[in-house]
Amino acid sequence: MKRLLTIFVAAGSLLAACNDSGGDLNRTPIFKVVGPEGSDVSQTIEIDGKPQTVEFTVMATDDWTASLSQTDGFTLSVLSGGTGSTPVSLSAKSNTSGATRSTQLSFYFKEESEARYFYTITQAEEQPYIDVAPTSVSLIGDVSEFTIAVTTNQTSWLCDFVGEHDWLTQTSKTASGVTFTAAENRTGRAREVQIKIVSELHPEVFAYVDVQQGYLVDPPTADLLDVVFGENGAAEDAPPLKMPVELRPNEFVTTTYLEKYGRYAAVFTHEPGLSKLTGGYYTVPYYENETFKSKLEDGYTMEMLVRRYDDPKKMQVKPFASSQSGGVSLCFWADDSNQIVMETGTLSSTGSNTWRQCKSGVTPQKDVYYHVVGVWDKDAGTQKIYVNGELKATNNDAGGEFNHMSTKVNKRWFGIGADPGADDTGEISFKGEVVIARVYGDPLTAEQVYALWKLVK
Amino acid sequence: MQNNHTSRIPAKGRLGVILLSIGLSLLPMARLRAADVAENDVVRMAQSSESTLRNVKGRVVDVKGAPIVGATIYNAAAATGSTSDADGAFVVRAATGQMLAVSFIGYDTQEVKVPASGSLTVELSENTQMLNDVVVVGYATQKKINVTGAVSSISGNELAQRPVVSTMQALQGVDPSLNISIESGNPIAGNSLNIRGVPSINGGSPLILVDGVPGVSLRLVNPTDIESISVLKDASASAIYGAKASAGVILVTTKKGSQGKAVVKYSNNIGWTQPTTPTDFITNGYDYATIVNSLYFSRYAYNAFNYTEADWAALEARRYDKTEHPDRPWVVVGDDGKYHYYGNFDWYHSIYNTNRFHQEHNLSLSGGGQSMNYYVSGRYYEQDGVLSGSMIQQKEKYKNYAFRAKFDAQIFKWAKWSTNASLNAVNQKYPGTLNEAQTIAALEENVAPMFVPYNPDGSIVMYPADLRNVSLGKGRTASLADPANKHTIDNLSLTLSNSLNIKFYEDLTFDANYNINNYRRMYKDRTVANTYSDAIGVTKSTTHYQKDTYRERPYEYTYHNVDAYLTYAHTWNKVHNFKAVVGMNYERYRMTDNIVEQFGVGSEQLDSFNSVNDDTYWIVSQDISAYKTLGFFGRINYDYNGKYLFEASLRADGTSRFAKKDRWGIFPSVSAGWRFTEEPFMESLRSWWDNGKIRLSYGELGNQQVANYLYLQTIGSGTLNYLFDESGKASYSSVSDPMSSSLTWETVRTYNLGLDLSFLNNRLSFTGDLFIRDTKDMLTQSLTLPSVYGAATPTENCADLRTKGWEFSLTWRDRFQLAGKPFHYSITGQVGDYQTEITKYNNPTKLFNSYYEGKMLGEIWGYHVPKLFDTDEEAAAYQKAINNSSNVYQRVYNMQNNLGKLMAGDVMFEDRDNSGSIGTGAGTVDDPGDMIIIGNSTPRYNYSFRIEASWNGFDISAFFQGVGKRDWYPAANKDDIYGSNQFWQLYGYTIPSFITYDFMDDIWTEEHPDRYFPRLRPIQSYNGGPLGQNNDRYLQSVAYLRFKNLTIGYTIPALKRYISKLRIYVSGENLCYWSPLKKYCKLIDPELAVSDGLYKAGSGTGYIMPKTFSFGIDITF
Repeated sequence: MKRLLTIFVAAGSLLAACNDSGGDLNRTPIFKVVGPEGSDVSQTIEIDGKPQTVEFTVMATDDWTASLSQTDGFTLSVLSGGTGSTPVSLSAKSNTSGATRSTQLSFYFKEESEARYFYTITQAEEQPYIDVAPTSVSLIGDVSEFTIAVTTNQTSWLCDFVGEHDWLTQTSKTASGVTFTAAENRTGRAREVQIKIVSELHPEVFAYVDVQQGYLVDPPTADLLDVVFGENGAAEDAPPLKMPVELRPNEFVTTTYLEKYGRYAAVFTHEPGLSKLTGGYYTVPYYENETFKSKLEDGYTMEMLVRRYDDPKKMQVKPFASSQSGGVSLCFWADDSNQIVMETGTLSSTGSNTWRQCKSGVTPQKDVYYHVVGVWDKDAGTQKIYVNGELKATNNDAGGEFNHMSTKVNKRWFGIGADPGADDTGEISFKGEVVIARVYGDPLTAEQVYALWKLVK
Repeated sequence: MQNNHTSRIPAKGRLGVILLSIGLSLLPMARLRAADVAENDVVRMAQSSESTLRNVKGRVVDVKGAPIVGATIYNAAAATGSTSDADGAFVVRAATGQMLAVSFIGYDTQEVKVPASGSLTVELSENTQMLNDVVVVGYATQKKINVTGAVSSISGNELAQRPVVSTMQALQGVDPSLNISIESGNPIAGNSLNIRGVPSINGGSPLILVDGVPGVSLRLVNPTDIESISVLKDASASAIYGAKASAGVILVTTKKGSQGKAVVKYSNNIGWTQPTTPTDFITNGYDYATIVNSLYFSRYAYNAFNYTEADWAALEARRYDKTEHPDRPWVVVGDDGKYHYYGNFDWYHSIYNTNRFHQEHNLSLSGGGQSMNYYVSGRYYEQDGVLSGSMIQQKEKYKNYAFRAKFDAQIFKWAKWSTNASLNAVNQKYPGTLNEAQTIAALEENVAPMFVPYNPDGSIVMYPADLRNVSLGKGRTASLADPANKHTIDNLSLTLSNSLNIKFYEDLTFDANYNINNYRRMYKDRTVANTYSDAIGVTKSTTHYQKDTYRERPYEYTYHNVDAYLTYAHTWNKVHNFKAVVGMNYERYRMTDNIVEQFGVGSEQLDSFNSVNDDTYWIVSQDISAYKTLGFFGRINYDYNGKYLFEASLRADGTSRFAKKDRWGIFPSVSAGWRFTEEPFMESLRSWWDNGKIRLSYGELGNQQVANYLYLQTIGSGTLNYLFDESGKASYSSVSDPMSSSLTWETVRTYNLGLDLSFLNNRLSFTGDLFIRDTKDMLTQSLTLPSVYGAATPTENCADLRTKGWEFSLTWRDRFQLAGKPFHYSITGQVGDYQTEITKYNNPTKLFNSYYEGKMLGEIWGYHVPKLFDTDEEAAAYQKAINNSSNVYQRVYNMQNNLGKLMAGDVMFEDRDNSGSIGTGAGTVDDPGDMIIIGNSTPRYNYSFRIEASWNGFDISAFFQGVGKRDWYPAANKDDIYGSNQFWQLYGYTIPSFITYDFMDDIWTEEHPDRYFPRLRPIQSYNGGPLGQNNDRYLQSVAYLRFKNLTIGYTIPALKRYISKLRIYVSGENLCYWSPLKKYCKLIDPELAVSDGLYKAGSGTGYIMPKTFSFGIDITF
């Protein structure tokens, strides 16, 4: 009897002991100090005599302390900290002592008596200087203003120019900085100038600021497609091609006038991501339009002004597209960020389709208008995507022959509000407004894209 | 009747009776006269021995030595009697040499001679044959020997003491006609249950009645409460339940109290549950990252894990560190503050608890007096869930509370009142995201051993800097790590039955029942946005996966059920036995399902909308459905002297699910039986052939298991986006697709031929059935209409199917003396099979991806793969010959680094139609392209066998169960669907979480071209990849034999003064299995492989199947 009970208990204990609790959750604590770039704990950090700070970062998963061996002329912003990443600034005053001075900075983890990190900082005697920030300025071709901050131990300084500078006007100057206004650039070329900030007392003490300005161009005309929406769901293509624009109607599509843009927008209210749709979107058939097709094949640009009615979610949505085993689209990607993406189909070596994608990294927010331009430059083998006039991403691996969309029924069209499906129905539907849907037969330049953005901005 | 007379005759009189009987047997009515004479004899013998009577003491025990309480001890000679007490002890007046008849229900009656000592112990053995003698059928009980339909009966003893969560699990394998698919190992997972297959392409589940109450889930019935379960398989047996019984009927009868002293029983079961499949995955970060990066690079031309050379060196340095060495930490921080991970972390066992504790306690009290008896029971069961590994703070747990109270009161001599109340409550808590099955599926992706769940500062790891732009387990590890994510499911099932039985006179009784069954379920879900850190001191949050919300989902349904019926039974001339039942049944059902959700989290402790702080976003939805049925039924049974048996029944049913003019259906059935062993010509065989019966039945049943409002067109409403003058947007209504004007019942006709045999004093018994079940007028879409019709094709009664099958069971039961003690043993084997064919369907072109005439349900169409390519040259020549656009190789062609072409080791599909491409032709049976039928997913040859033995207090039972034939093609993954699966592992996803070393041993290499899996390429089991196409090379057999249960017990002969019975036992459930699937896939349990209840059906990856070891104790006071 006892033996039997013992066996029972032993069997139970064995089972209980078998419990495999997986990976150990206890981690080795972290204590790491990172000094200024290029610094090393074994080498002295040498700084000039100007008043300045030397930045350290303490990364720890527990308490730590810091101390200085010499505090004459040196101070620390933080003497102790805890879990997390803590910036620690060592401030050095202007060294007017007439000699080089130094201090040792030590970092201790928890209650440890021995420092895990220590740095020696040596400061030279102060010399005359002028520092500027920023050291270069890049401007768009619009009228624009910029300010240069000046830090110096000189009592007076002035601005000089290297190069043509009549397009710059100094609008204000204080002891700590100077402000300029750049005139609009419609010269058709970029221009640049160097501004020299120089001490009046010591002409050998100076600093340069490089200024560059782009130029403005006229917005291009969409030569392949420019859908203009009208009252009560109407839509047509503006010249020159006058492509047919057909509405596949149902209760989920209409148009609305937008004061902000002075034009009608198409409004789609069906749920996003639907398939097998027989209505609720616009089509622009182009299967038999050789001009349209060949221009698309040689490189193109798609432009779209769009606003979503739904929150971003992990779902592909295609407001403006002609994609099915090839083709093109501007869409929202089915990834966690639901980012704005352009797609271009190219032919693979085996004759199948290879998608080229350029992902903007921009997550579209609900009820916000976005101006999106996707450019496929066949000759350069690149894709570029611009959001609100700004280049967001470039794909340098987008070369190859264009591959059109294909369906089972030999039809080919651009969809606005949905993407063409293989059986000629709409799919991957969009919920929101499409204000502009244009296709250009050339890869537009950044300046042209900016001009388009200025029109709607 | 004959046996009863004999048992009351004392030994001295029996010889005379026998001799007299032999003489009289030559004359008609011999037995009757013999009995008369015997009774006279008894009186005479009793008078002669009166003077020697004394108190004889004894004890009644069962074969395990446990006392039997309430046994009857009868001394016919002296007409004295007694009953045994709590210790089994009795005192009876008897003389030496007289015979005592000792009996107790459920046990063989023993006759023992009073010894001179005046003291004796009587051992009674259980008579399961007797238990089976009476079976519960519709609105009655019937002697099994007289049953003419296909009915099987399962004793509650077969279900008790198994370490299972629910009755449903315990039922698996106990009858060959029952097909029970366990959806997953989750204790609250559903089970699909059918009897002899599903009767219609529209589905259909058996009608389950627990003590006559419909709508009670078998998952919510305490297994230890069950007295018996009857399975009514054919139409004749279930016809009395009419339109609800087209898929068969399961009648559960619970225990009730019996006259005698109060009996208190307590039992428990405590143990641990482990997975049925191995969980030994690669936990070595260096090896894992090397394998996955190489695979990833071949597809994308960049790496999944962007480690530098220094990182690789760090990984390799830690390659053999099972735990973290202080000099080689698994998490380090870079100069930019970003965390970098070089771990060998065992994620699987950190997420999943692979040794889960469970405990069960049962307590019951039963007894009764002359006019009342009672049975009260309670159960508590708890089990740790799988999501309770060490990294999870809010651990998963399942609890079940059950309570039942039954009272029977003889309120008048002619009236009996019964009431039966039961309550079953389930509570489950789990962590992570809302959908637990989805969580488990998502955890199959990107959970790499280099990473750990928590950073050294305790922050959560979700988007490691070393992993390219994806999160661990699609964010699920982060959700599991955050205890603020918590979900609760509360189920409450409450049933109440009241029954009145009135005996008008001896032959005529009236029964009326009113039952109510109320089921409530409440989901409470709190989810919070994922917070994580990828750099020290930086906490980030993402709402892409989930937001801060609180949700409640109350769901409720109520059945009201009324039965009223008259029963008339009479026997004429002792040979014409007649019984008739006539009555009505009314049922009402209503369900409501509400969902309320609000964004924001104000408090993580309070489960209330008051604790939510974002009023800007609410979701409210409601679903209501209801139906009513009314039925009238009648049944007559007639038998001539138990030899010629006949039964007929008729049921008229009306249901709200059809339009008024098509609402009513009449369903007849008839059956007959012939006990040929009762014929005179069998006399000579009767010494060894006890019983032989042939049964034949035919019946029709309606199938009302269709949608509640199928015949109604619905009107939806909404708001237009068009503006009309200044009144704003207009409202509109729309009508649903047109419906057929003549929708009515699907009809199920069943033909059943059965044979019951028993031999050698019932030691060997056999039951077999052959059946054909025709389902006529199945509801499905009829004609294919042109698209100008503008709406979906209406549903009509326009398709048929036929199911053919058989099942039999064989039992051997005997005992012999071993070392002076009786050794009891029994062996039972059962097997059954069926196949279903579509016999009518409007698909004239026979598109094989739909139903078509001649289609066997479960058919798997696929390609033939004769081999893997032997050489690159052979592959290149094949690629040249086969159209490159062929979809089956698209994912091969999309490979990078000059791998985008067919090569040695790739899968070769046979171009059977010599079309120059691999495809499905016209997709029809006549033009299937290169497709052939490669297998069938229907489970064939359900079988089980059970071995039981007991000796000297020890008892053992072993139960095996299996499926003889079934095919499975592991489900293909698709983009944007969670769940890499454990069959395809590296072929299924680019960064699969759990990889086994032995999987690598089955992959083709140039050195090992004969291996099973093809050249290693990622995501090949997706659509467009060769492994995503059903084919015969990778078709799996999921036939299996499972060692379902082993129980070893010992009844301790101790503490008899206080305890009637004390038994301890150990038990193992799902101990092991044998399956051809194991050859190339040990990670997937064959039952889980075919489950539809997983997040991705057919993937085989879900809540792991349980293997349970336990020990327990049974005490009767």
